[in-house]
Amino acid sequence: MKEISFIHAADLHLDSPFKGLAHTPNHIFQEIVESTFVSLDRLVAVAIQKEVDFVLIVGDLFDNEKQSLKAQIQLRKAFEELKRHNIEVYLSYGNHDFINGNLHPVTYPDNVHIFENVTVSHFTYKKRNEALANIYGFSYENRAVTDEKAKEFKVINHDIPFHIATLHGSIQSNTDHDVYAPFQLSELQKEPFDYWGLGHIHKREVLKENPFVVYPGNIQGRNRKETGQKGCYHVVLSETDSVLTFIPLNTITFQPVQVDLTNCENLHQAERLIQETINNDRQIAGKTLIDLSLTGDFVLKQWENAKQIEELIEIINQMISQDQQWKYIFHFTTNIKRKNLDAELKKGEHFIGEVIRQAEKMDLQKSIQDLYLHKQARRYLHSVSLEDQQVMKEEAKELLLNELLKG
Amino acid sequence: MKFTKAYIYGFGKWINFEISFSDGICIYGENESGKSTIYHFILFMLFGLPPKQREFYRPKSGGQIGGRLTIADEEVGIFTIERLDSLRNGAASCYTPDGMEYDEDWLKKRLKGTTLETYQSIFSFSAMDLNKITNMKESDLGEVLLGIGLTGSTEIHHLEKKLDNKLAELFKPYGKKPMINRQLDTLDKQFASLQGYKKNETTYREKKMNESQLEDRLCELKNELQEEKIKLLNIEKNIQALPLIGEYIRYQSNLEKYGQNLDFPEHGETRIENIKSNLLPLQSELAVLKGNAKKYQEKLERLQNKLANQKLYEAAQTLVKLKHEFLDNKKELERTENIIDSKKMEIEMELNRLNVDLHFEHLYKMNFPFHIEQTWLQIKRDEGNVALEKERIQAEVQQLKQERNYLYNQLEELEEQILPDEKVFELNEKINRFHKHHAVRNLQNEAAQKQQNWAKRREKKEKDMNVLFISCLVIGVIFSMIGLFTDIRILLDISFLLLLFGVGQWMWGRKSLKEMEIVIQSDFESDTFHTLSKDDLQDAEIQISDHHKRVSEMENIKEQLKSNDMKRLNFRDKMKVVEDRYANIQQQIKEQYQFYPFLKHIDISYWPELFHALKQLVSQFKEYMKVLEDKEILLEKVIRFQSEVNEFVKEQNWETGDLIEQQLKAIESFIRKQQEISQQIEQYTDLLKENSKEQDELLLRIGTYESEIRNLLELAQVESEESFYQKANQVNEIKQNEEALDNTYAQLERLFPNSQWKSFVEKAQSESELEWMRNDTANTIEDLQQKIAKTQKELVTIQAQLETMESSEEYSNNLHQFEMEQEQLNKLAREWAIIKTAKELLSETKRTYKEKHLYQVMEATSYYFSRLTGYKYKSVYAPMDHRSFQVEANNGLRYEVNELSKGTIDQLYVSLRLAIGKTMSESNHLPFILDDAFLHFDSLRIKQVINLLEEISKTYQVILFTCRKEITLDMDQMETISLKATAFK
Repeated sequence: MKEISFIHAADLHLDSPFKGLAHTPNHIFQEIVESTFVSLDRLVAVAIQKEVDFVLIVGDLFDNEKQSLKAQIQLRKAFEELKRHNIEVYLSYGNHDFINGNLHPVTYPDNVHIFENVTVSHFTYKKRNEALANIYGFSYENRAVTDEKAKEFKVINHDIPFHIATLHGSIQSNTDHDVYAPFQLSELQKEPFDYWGLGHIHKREVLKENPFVVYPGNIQGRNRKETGQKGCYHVVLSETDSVLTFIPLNTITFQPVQVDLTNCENLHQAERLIQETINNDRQIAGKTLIDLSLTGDFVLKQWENAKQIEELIEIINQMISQDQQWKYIFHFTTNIKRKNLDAELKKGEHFIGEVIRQAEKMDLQKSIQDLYLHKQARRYLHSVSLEDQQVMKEEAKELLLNELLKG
Repeated sequence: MKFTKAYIYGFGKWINFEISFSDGICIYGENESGKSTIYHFILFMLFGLPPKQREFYRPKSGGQIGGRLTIADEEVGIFTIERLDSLRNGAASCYTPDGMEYDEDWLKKRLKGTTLETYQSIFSFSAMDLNKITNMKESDLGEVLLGIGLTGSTEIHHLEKKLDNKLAELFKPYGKKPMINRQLDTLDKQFASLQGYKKNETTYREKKMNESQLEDRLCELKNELQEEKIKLLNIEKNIQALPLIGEYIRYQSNLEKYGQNLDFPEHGETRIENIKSNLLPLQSELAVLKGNAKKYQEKLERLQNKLANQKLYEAAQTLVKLKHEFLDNKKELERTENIIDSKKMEIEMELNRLNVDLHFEHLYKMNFPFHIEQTWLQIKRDEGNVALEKERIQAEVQQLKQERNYLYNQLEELEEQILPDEKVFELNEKINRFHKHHAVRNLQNEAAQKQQNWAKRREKKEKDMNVLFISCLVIGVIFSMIGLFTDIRILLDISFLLLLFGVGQWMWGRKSLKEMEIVIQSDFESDTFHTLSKDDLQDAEIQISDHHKRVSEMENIKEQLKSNDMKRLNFRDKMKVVEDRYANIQQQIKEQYQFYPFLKHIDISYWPELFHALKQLVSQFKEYMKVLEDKEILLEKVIRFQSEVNEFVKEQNWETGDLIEQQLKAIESFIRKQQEISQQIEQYTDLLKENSKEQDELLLRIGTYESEIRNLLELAQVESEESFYQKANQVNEIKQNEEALDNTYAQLERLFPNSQWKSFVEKAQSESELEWMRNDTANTIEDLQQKIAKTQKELVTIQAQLETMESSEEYSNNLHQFEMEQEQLNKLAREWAIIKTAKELLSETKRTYKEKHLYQVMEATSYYFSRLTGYKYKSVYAPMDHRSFQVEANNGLRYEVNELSKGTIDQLYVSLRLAIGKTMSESNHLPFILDDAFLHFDSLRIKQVINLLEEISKTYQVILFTCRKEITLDMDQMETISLKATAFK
């Protein structure tokens, strides 16, 4: 019976810095720096261990904008290792590593087959001189591909048993991300492909089975939104069956943790509670970057305003970050449970009411332009999204109300 | 909203204490009497208290903290708030009369969001608040006043400052120390170094390209080196193999000379020899035959050459045939010539006989039309007639002329005679003379007559003389001719005598005639002038008498003259006619002369006789001409034949002489010879025929052998036997060369396997050339080795650099570091942004709030201030820009706040607070609570305040706590409750 097995990965984003990480102890920082490479090494190890026929990497191997030579060299080393084990690599470039933006074109070994341009093309995988699979794909030549590329995929040579399509893009309806090479699920079924290996979306998802339409997600989370396990899929296609197995590759996990501090009367209690929660969380295994979300009443707010929470977290981090399997709270948010009086307060003729009313009308951009348009600072600052603006405005209002009402 | 009553379960010093409130109420108590506790209780009821603060109010005697406050609300009516420290953490429960129970939130709704702070800042104030004012710097007073007015406290101001401080800690646009500024510096540094690393990494691409170029170059150089080495080896081998190659080239060039066309039959040479041995006898036989045939042919040709062509032969034959005819013609010709001679003789004799100026030649032209005889006859007659007539007329005219002359003379004479009368005598004489004249005239007439006769005679004589002369001449000539012809001397002498006689008689006659003429004329002249005789004088008288008679005679003579003239004219005319006729005839004669010149010598009268003689002559002549013609024809024929023969002979160039007979003989012998030649030709032709038959047979036999040979030639692809043999030789040579070549080839192949040596052959270089090349290549190899070493060095350098770059993680590390610092910046920025936003929000709210309420507040403030100051001031102006409050006195003067007295400032403050409270209460009717607010007021001012408060209390509930007795005393309308300080003790 004919059978092929392969690893499907995408969005390696090698050596691309983590987002939202302000301060980390040095040893953790080093591990963060190495994390994408370690994940890549794991991918290679898995491929060798599973004795797969080939590896598919569907775009965004690295970021052109923050491209380091190291990423390229490590990639080449990984491919060389795969070559030593006779594993072919089929890769395409995506919106982050589009061909024309590549700063350091490194020559890969000859087991690497690259879809060289934006036109859909294919490679034929041969095992012992027998054509077993056609692998189809295309690369981004420039930053964006807005054509509906999925429509261009056509099965060529039906005598070949397996047809695998690789597409770096997103479903038309998904507007959370930049929509590139948009497609609709129904389009992917028009041609008799055996597997649709997708890329671009960092959250792993099996969109459809039979045939599988799969986002493997990225191999290493890089910000607090990319939580949990990250990795690749090991796919075995046979004439009768398709088996899909997820294999985690990430070295560092982003994990959200919620702690309710409402009943804590003092910081000690809070500290204990947080520690316990972290230690007891079963999802927290291995090296973890924790996104702590605290819930509490005005006491918490007071602690926060007094920067006591920060100090608290620092203390906790000192304790939990020393293990081999370290944990580290890299970010926290507070969620103050306060009766929402704004609606009532707003009605009052008094100053508080006026504050609330003004807050709604307020133009945040204008008030923060001193810094955000500051010549020196602006190039380092992220632009503030409307959503952010709303949150910040809310926080500013809270700050004022707290101060005004506490007297 | 109004408080109606309060019941305190336990709060501070109050336990189970109840108090009722009217619209305006003054609660009086000394210090420590519990006024403030009641105040705080009310606040606690309305807004609750944090546990710690609650704890403060726990009664010393124990018991629970808590109480009730009943409120009359415009919207929901009366309800009661209950709070217990132990219950729900001091949260409120509200009870309405209908038995419903509500929670804290409900209460807050009723309070319309008024918080403790706002309540305190708007609706309640104490002396403490006024004291705060004194703490403020004077210049800040206006701002502070407003701030208090708006929030009910100075908190906002503090908050603003606090926020500003925080912001300054975080960021200053041009600062260095604030956190964000420091972070920015860090980032700048990191960014710069990151860029440096990045730039460094971008050189990777370049270096990589450089590396690959160097590698390529190295590879190229190595290949080149390899090639050069092989080349050197080859050159060396080449040198070694040079002699062998030389041989090889020689053999090959030999072979090349022979080219490709080397087909040759097997054993070609022997085969061709065999055929030829058979062929040779046949060929010699054929040669003999051919020789014979040639001889025959030559003979034949010779004969045929001898044999004149057919035309010539035929011409000769024709000539021979014509020979007899020619002989006949010749005889006939001779005969005709004889006839001609005799005829001519006859004619000439006849001509001689005629002896007119007519010669034989003239006869050719002679022609007599039928009428000529008649013409001549006519001319003869007419001539005679005319001559006669003419003579007659001439005579007549002559006569008339003489008559006339006579008449004229007579007339002249008469005219002379009739001269004047004086000369009558003379006339008479003349008459006489006339008579004499008359006789003379007669004589003269006679003489004239004689003269006339003489003329006639002379003419006759002359004529006879001429005839005689001519006859003598003619006869003389004839005799001389005959004498000349016949050589008879006597005849010549006779003719000479005759001539002499003729000339002599003519000359004599002439002389006698002239002498006679002179005699006659001299006779006449001697008689003309005859002098008058003496009778004339006698007759003179008669003549005078005759004078008239003469005149009449003159008349008569004139008359006669006239008629004479008439006659003369008449005759002249006649003469003219006759002369015309004569001229006509002469013309005719001339014409005849023209045609027949000989007539000139013949008198017209003989013409008819001449005609007959001539006619006969002409007919004879015609006969002669006829014969002449015949002769001409014959002669032509003979000559033609002769010329033909002559021509023929001349054409043939035969030396036969000019005689026709000889020529003919030659022709005949020619014909005979020709016939002989023809016979010989026939004989040889037969021989030739036979010969050719034999040849044909031989050729047939030869042909088979020759075709055999041709086959062999074709097989050898040559044209001739010679080249066949040449080719045979070539084939042999080729074989030898090929063997030698194979030999060399094998040797070379041993030295240079796989035909490497062939390139040497193609180049064919000399030894010195090769030696030079060897050195050259050796040099090149050295060069290349140096280059390789250099390139390898470069490559190693660049590879080391690349190695370093590849293993370097500086950029990567920095990138991550930078990212984190950036994150830190963003975090700080966010913090800053929130604070900044809060501050902006606060300022904005303040501004809006001010704008919204300021007018109302200031209006009310002005009113209250005016009331409180006893109308000393009429209005208050809000602070503007940097200017604080201003008040306007009744006199129109304006004062800044810091220009006012302490008391007035307090009044202004109270007015402001009341105004704010009033303004705020319009939508939110909460009671005023004043806690000893007028501590520093004098009695007058207190009175004024009380009055004012009483007025306000009509609209809003006013609760006034005081420790001053005099205040209670001033109350008119407000209820007063006294708290006994000791009551609880």
